[in-house]
Amino acid sequence: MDGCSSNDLVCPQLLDLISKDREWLVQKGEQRSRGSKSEEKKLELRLGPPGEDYGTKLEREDSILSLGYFSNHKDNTYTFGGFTNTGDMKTAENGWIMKNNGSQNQQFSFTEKFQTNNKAEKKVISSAAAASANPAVVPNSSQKRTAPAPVVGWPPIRSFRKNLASSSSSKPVPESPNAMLNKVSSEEPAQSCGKGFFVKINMDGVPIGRKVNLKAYDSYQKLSSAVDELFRGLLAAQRDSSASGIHHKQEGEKSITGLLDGTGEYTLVYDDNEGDRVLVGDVPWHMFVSTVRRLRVLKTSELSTLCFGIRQEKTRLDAASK
Amino acid sequence: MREDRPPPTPSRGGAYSPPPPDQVLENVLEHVLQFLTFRRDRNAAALVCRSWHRAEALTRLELFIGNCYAVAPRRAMERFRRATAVTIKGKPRFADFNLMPPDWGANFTPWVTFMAQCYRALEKLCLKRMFVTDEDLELLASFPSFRELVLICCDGFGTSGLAVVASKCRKLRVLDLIEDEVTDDEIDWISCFPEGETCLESLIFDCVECPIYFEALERLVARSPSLKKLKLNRYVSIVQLYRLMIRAPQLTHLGTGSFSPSEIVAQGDQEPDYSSAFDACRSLVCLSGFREIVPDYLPAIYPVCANLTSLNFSYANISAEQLRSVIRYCHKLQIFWVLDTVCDAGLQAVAATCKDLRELRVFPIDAREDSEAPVSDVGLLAISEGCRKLQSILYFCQRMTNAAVIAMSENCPELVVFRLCIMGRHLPDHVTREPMDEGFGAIVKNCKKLTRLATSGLLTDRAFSYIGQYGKLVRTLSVAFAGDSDTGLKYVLEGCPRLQKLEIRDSPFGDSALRTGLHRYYNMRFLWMSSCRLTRRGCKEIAQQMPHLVVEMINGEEEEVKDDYVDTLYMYRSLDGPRADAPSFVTIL
Repeated sequence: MDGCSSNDLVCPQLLDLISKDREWLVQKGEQRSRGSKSEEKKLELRLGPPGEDYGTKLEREDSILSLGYFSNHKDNTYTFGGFTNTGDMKTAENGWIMKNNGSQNQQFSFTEKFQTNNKAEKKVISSAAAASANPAVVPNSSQKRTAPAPVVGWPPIRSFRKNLASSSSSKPVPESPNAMLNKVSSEEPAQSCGKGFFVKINMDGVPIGRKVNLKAYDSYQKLSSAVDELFRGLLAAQRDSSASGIHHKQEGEKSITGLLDGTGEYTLVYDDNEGDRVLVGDVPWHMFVSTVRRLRVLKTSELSTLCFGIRQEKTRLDAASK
Repeated sequence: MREDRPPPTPSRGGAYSPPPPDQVLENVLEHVLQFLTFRRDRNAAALVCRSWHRAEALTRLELFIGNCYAVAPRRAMERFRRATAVTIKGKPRFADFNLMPPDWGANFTPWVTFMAQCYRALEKLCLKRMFVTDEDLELLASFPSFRELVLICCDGFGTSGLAVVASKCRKLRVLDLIEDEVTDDEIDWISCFPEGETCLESLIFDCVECPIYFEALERLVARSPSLKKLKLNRYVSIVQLYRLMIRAPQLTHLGTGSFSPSEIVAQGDQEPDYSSAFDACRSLVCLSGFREIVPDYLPAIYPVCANLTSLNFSYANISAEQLRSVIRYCHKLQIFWVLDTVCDAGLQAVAATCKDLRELRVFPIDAREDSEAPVSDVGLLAISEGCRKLQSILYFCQRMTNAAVIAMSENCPELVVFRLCIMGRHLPDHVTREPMDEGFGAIVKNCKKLTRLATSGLLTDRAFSYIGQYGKLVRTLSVAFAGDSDTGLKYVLEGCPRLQKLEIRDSPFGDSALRTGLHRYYNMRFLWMSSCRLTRRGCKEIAQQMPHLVVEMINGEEEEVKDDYVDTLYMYRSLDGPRADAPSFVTIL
């Protein structure tokens, strides 16, 4: 390689270092081939509950095994970012590394507070205090056997590219809740958090949708009157078929009634977490709030065909697309 | 009245005197320097001597600021007084992955405030990873010659800002919003473009997650005869796409929106002839969108495939078979982005047809460490064998082998960008169980033009020794969960003379490694190290020894740093010292 000639002074040094590593790697190799089951067990690798068959987990085990070896190499009090492993950790489910001489700790990024809406990543919280007292922090998914605890920002995919599985494969159902998570801005939480639970609401004939905060209401009646207020003006504007579409104050607004009982010109429906379209009011309020993903104000006259059609079409297209 | 004729040039002492020689030189220089466009050439010219420096500064029309905190707005704009196009980059790339708290900075406001005084004639602006407010946009819109706005990975603004830009920028030709976070202020910004013919050439808003008023968009497209690039967001249905396409057959770049119907289409419904709309677009070379694709509609794009040089299916959940039906026509394809749902088989189909492929990006549909990724070393190998002209690759997978990576290094000598992301951390070669050192080593060794490298999988210090030894042209290096010790980082800092951007996370590199890079840091744009083994003391040492380096410690937790370890180090050179807008969780040493 041409580049080496100018680096003659450097190359030998590098090679020396490499050869040292090679010996060391050979050592590791021997260690690996020599490694009995009991050594493997000592060096950890629990991805499932104790007693599970190792055979199926071989791939993952070996990878962590080879990770485990280097802690022997330099520094037995090897620490990562300030966390010291003071003892065996029992969180087998998370795939954390345990060593019998307890000096290894796989680093998890603790930038939990940076996350806003990322459903795909569970929050892993660790602090120095917790590490010394109770080194294990068990995320919600402790029952999952094979999943390592997710880490912030890994894999390095921007948030709007995540959750494609749910939003793209569920056509023609309108966008799933995960699609709303594409916005990571903190002012618009798409899932429930302390301050509010915003769902999008669209009305037939009105191009621009709005958002309602369901936490602000505790009954269907209040929701219905809120919807009426939201759209009254917009609907009148559409009826006037003004070209610009920007909402402005209207006189002659008609209130929107009968949203819940089918008596009005419009009816309130919602899309739930399974992608079904359901009439609002069918289930108890708290159940509604926990399953609703999106609200719609549809023309009552078109209602029955639409709902029926959607369920039929969903099965037809699901069958056709894969 | 001939006596009253004024003298031909201003004279001193009455007699005509030619302009002084250095004035001539400077005039000539300015004329000549106008031909220099590459900023590296211009930077070199500016170093020759004072008059060249001056002349170059006066003739530079495009100002590029790689790090918004490397120089104060005043200094940059006072030196380059006549620039009409400005590019500014803000946050480091790892901010895209939630590794940086919001409100960290990269505010555009101080820049635009200065521009309002110094750069009133501004024509073009490109911002990447900056925080831009609606007020900033409003101020921009007041610049009389402003015509091109490109925002990439920016946030802080909403549709109200867009509405102001649309309505006030009378000469707007380009409005490109790429991967931004735009808040929905529920304003119909499309309707805000003024009536009458527009000079719009490019309108890209596929990232805007708000519904738009379609009729207004249709009228806008109809009255924009120069429109060449149009990328719709996913709120535009395929029927609406059809209506737009028949009004704009001159398009060269098209983002198709959702590519699905907005309502249920029952069998037997009369649907437009989508294929004929595509057929009418004779100039179409770049196709993207497909945000919520119903694959039944794919055949509509067949008529344009033969001319396509760029195809972006990275939101399209399609199978290998569905891809094959399209890709077999795409002989001229140079840029291809796709989801891994097409599997290795789909990539094999790409390799079989796209002999001219330059850039490939394979994204995961399920971006988790333990998901079933349908692409692997098999796909990579196929691509390397079929697409010999490959220059840039980004490949997400769950399984990889050194053999496939080595094969790519040998088959694709033109590689400039190699970014491999094996999603499971610390995963070795899944066949040999060895670390991925040899694969990445082969890449840096065989791909002599390589300037950008991103690593993954199980890597020991040996991989870094290879990078330091062979990666002589590497400018950008991304490292995650790799290496054994300080030695790894030392190899890189000592070995890579062209290194500009180094971003490292969760790797066992500490203070001693950091120290070995002292001779490099003034020549680099930035260094990012998060969740490594750096101590506050070590970082402080660097800060003390290098006064023109801004050393930021970004803390994960709000409370005081309890131990000596640094969560995140972000370090960059700056002509104007530490910034004044650092939030509380940032400590500048």
